[in-house]
Amino acid sequence: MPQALLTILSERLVRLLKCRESKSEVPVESGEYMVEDLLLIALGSVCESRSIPENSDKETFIAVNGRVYYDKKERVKVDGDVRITLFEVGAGG
Amino acid sequence: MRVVYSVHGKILHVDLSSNKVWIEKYGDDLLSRYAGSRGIEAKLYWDLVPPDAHPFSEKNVFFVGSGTFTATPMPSSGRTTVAFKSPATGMYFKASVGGSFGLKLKHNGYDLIVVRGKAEKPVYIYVENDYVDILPAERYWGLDVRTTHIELLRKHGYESETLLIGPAGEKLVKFASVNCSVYNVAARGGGGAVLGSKLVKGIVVGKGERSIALYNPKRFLELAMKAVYNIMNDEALIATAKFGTASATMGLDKTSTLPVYNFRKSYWEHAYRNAGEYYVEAGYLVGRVGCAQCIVSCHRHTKTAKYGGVDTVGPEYETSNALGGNLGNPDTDALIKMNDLANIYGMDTISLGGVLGWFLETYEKGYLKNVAEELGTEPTWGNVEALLRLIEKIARREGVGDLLAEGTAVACEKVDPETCKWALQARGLEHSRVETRIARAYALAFALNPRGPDHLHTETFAEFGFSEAAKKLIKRLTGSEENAGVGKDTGRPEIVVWHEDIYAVTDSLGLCAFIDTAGYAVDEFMLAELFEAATGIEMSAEKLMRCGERIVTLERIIQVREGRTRKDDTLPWRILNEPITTREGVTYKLSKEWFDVMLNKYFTLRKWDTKTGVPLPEKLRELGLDFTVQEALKHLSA
Amino acid sequence: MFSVSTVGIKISPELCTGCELCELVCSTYHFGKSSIRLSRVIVFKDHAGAKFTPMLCISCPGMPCVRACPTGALVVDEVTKRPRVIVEKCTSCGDCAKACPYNAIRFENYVLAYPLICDLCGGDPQCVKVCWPRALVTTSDLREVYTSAAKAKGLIEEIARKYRG
Repeated sequence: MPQALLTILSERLVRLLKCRESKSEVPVESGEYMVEDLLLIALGSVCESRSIPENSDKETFIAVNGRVYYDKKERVKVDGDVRITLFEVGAGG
Repeated sequence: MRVVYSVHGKILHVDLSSNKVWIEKYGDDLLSRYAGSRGIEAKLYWDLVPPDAHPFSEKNVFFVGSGTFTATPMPSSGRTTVAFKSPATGMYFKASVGGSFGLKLKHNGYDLIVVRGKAEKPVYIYVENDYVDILPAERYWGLDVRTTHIELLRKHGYESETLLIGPAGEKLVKFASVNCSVYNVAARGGGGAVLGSKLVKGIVVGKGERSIALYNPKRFLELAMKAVYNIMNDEALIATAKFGTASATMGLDKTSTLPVYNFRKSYWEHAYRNAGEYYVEAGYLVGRVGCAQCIVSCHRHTKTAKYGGVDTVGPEYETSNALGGNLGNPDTDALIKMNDLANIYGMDTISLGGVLGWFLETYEKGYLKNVAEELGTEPTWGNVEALLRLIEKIARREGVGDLLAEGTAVACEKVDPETCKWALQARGLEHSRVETRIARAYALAFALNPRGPDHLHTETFAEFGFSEAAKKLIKRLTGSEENAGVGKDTGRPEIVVWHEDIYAVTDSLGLCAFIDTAGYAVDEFMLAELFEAATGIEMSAEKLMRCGERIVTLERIIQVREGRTRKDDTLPWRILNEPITTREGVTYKLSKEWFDVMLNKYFTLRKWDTKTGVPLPEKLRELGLDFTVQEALKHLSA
Repeated sequence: MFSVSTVGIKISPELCTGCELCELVCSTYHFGKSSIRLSRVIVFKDHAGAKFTPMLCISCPGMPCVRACPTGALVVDEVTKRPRVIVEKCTSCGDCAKACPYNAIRFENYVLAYPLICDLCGGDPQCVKVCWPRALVTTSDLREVYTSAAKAKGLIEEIARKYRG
């Protein structure tokens, strides 16, 4: 069965979502999912929160298999391991 | 002239034409007025570079200098400033670079090196304490930067540091770079070509045996430790340390200020492939690299097994976008390879991406069709094979590479002036990687920047309001936090003025601009205290910002003398004439009228003539730049 | 502050970014002057390969430096249990630096007549305070100190080979 591999790249997010760890692996059945449902499955295994709070004062990004999704209701296909990464906005130059 | 602290008060002059080397001493007077490297180099440029000097002639002068805080325990203060007349813009050009060259230069007892004239055969300059020599460089001519660095260190000792040009500089590519410690690059403006025209492969400094005397070492160390603490707790710098400068990518994509496809669009579904977080997630990042004294260490050590195997440093944000989304390229492995080529051949990635973006669009629109045969593949968006071959050709000025090596401004005129409509350049320099039709402080800053439409002179990152500290700064400068956020116009001139002034001071002190203009770990008040503790020269935040204003104004009058007028304070054609639409469907357009209003406001704040953009004599005298008044008057009466 | 005899500094070469701030802080703290040449921590750099590591005295059990000193200028400090230089007795021979298996002793007699050996700043190491990449961290696990130093030594030898003239 495919695995959903969660990585939370921001320590602040780990605290905000009340997660035990910043990484997790959880089996997920192949099929089509909304991004927010995939997030629920991935976060559920290691965090108390199951979704990103809406009025957080920093922008949180969700990337699935190397692509960022702004619309959490967008659908993604799962037919192998799926990488889910959460991070916040950076600085740069 | 009493003993100077924090710097040596020594400038090393090298004249390649006469083979003479000498030392010029300076004191507190120069330091207190110009704060450090960038300011002093601007003053020397005014003194030494005639306004009619051709950039490739022996009359051009190349300056390189370490900052006032370089080689002190102040964190993130190892930045080095280079200056020269640019072959791309035809005017004064300043570039900044990290690495350890400046740090070691100071350990050898010098603050700045001034290189004039021209050598007859390829040479490099060698400096070790009191010993300075001009040595033959034939065996290194033609070699890439990485190989040359290793060879030179085997010869002179592995604790030496290098400042080098690559094959692109030797071939006078208009955007050839100057590289310090291999992968740290004073990229823009063609400084590499200036050294190439002088037949100078580079400068090597030995391990050095000098130390820096601080006026009040205990106090300075105390303040430096405070700066360390502030840096470690700054949210922007925390992200930059972990994910590099390319962590800016998604913030820009979200606000539709991420230029892709040669500025035709400002957001992209594959943007994440060019993001710093992705490099970490996908395993490209194997380590971090820091400029001298910098604990943020935002530079990336990356590897990929593809494209013949690459082990390199980079890509930065600008590179990630310029050679990524700008070219429709989501292939991160290819991006790392392209970055490595630019590093070792010695080319500016922003200009490289700019000229390639222009070229892909030009080909798409039906020009230069024969290039497909030359490349063996069609140069289309995201065609990595074509892009890699083009980069190789540009570095060697081979085939179509010879055209592209001239830069976008020259290339578009040569092909067909119509193609200049999608040449994203102004004054000869390619536009940096942010959508200025929406980020308006950036737009104004870019138009006024002596370099060209570029961010490494102001970095008005606060405009985005991505952090509490940024919002607070916007409130301080414009009266309200409401003015933070892109797409807005209020307070932009005030934002630009402050950023220009502090950036000039920051450069001169050797501090990295990320510490006080992208992150906010130190401010001008703390910098003034540090300056006093280091040098013993009385300094306040107000006086320090005055130094900044002095430097910015001097740079302006230098360029006025070289022919710059208000009509040069502009942006590329596409930015001025075409609208851009965000992901949410909101359309933005800049206009000549918008510019007129903004420039008028800016010139009024600066006390420069609104008609010509020339600093007014009263302002010049106020800043102690009396020696430039005569020049100003020439252009004001005209 | 901690008891210097029971704590050491763990070196992590894979985390070092080559910034050398540790060296400048060390020299300023001890001498009031800022210079790599006056630092008790030594940073080895390979810029072309982007590999770096700091090195400093780990107070290794054998203390070959103390045994190598011909004049008794190098002693084991009774309180800290670390090698200490008695400057008046030092004849600038450099044998201690040659004997150190970790290249951790800075002996550059054109700058300073005696060797520089890390003293952990008497219990509050300044280099550790500024090392954000955490290439230098304090630890009471002395085994960690020795194994990490061995790793650093490996990289130092690799760099020396790469840049050998």
